[in-house]
Amino acid sequence: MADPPGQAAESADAVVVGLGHPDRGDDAVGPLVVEAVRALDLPGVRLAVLPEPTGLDQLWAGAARVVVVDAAIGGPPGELGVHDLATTPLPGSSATVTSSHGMTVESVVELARQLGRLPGELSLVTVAGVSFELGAAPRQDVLDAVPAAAAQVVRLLGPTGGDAAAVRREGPG
Amino acid sequence: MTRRRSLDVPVLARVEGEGALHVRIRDRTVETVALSIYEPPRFFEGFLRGRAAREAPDITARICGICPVAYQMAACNAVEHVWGLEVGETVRRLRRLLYCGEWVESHALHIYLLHAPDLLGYPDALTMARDHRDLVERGLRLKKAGNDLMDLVGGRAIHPVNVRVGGFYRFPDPADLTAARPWLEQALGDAVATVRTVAALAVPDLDMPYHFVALRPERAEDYPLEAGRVVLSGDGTAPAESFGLEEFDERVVEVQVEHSNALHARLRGVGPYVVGPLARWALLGDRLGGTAADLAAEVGLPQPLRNPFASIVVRAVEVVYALEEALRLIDAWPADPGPAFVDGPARAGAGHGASEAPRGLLVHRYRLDAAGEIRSATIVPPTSQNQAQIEADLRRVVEGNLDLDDAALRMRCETAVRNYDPCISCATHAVRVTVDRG
Repeated sequence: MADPPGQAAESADAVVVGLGHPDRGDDAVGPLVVEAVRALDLPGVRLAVLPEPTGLDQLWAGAARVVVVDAAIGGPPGELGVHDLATTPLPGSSATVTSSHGMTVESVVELARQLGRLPGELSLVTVAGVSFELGAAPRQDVLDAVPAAAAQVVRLLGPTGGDAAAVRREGPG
Repeated sequence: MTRRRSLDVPVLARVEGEGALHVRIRDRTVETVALSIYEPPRFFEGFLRGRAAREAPDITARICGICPVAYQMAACNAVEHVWGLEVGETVRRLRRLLYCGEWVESHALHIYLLHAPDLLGYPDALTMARDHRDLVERGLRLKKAGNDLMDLVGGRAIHPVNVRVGGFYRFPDPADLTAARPWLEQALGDAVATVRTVAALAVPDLDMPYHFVALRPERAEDYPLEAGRVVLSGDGTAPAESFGLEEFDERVVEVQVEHSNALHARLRGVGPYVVGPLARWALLGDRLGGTAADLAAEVGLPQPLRNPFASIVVRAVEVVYALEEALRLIDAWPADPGPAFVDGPARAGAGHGASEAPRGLLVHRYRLDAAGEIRSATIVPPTSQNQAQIEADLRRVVEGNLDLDDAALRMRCETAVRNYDPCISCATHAVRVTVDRG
């Protein structure tokens, strides 16, 4: 059931959002990390996948702690990055988050910051990718990074996030 | 001495997807206007071959994160056409309700976050929000209402999961529909305010000799939305010519152009044409009714409207219509809605399905085998249909603004492209704008 505008569609202490398109090469890494986290069945954590960032602010409404996972260009394939977006805008010198859409993660986050709609804790976990062609499968070195990225997500979730080691055992790749 | 000028817009920001525009000017004569876009639907056409027809709504929904319902509806309509399935009235109404959600979220995104910054002179919505926080918040409220409606009916706001060939997996709980009424009414208030706001914006002058194409729903009181088997074509001043969807391939010629990966659509014997809000308003605006019609009259919206920079007003009126229509559909929800879907045996054959995406007419054509697999698929998205007309608009915009400096001309060109709310992801994958003055 949809809640009135301005409220979260579903209450949760923490939200994990995987950004990316499952049919677009390394862009699939965000959704894959979310699936790895889903296998842990963490209490109080809502999981979501978005193909593009414009709905991010709606997904995190009402949540205290949010982790967004996205593919990035820059760095060796599979390299992880962690950014604290609650206190600091994504620096221009950091990896460019991959998006083929008008609203970037940066623009959604900064608009929310200006409107006072950021969650108390907001982290961005990036996984460096190389190929984002439609129809392509993710590279193996990107797939190999999924368990570590999921473990990083769990660490960022804190006590709610359960056993990070379990992700390494159960995650794909 | 020959004076050459070149303008490049390497990345068209605030357009769904990516693309490029190159303009070349020689001695104050516009030589070239080329909008280059790339084409994921071609990938999806190939991806569909050999897949079960029942998968088509879910597969094609992935083409676009902004207008998945448009693809789902066109896919369902095409498969149902081949299989001879006739959906019931309640399914038809629920499809319309779901589609209303998509129109509201997509139009609200375009009006407030993409187009209003252009017309108010801001580089983006973030900068605009510093001076017009109330506008951005109103836009976000409207967008959320649209997303919530999609969530309520489709089970998810992005890529709804409740849609299937023949109808829905399940109908929503009537109590949830009733509970949506208050926030839909609140959204309607925001939508009414939006029409008045955008109608007061100063827009550049342009008067284009458009030829419009839109889908005409069977029921005389319906504004174009989830289905239709007749296409209307005309300039909005005389009775439009109509033809069945089966004739679409004969009437519309898709041609490959050197500078773009997207096919250009032309109406045979006419040339470039326009689909989307301007076309719907020109050809079927008399079907709006209610507050939407009253507001269009109040703000003096001309019919037809030939200035694409003012298309934002039509979008705003359509948001009002979508919210009023959603309320009407909820009020008319039957106590006993019957089965949530119809089913039947697979049949071999070819069929068309169409719907009115927020950006305009979307046509799917499938050829299915007796086992229910897709042998071939053709998808004609609205942006590729508008592309030739966008280039014609751009040529007029450049010709009329040669005295602008490169930065201002580039911005005007970008706005002219955004007038069409192009979903480059639907028609393409990557836009860049170049003005070459030589």
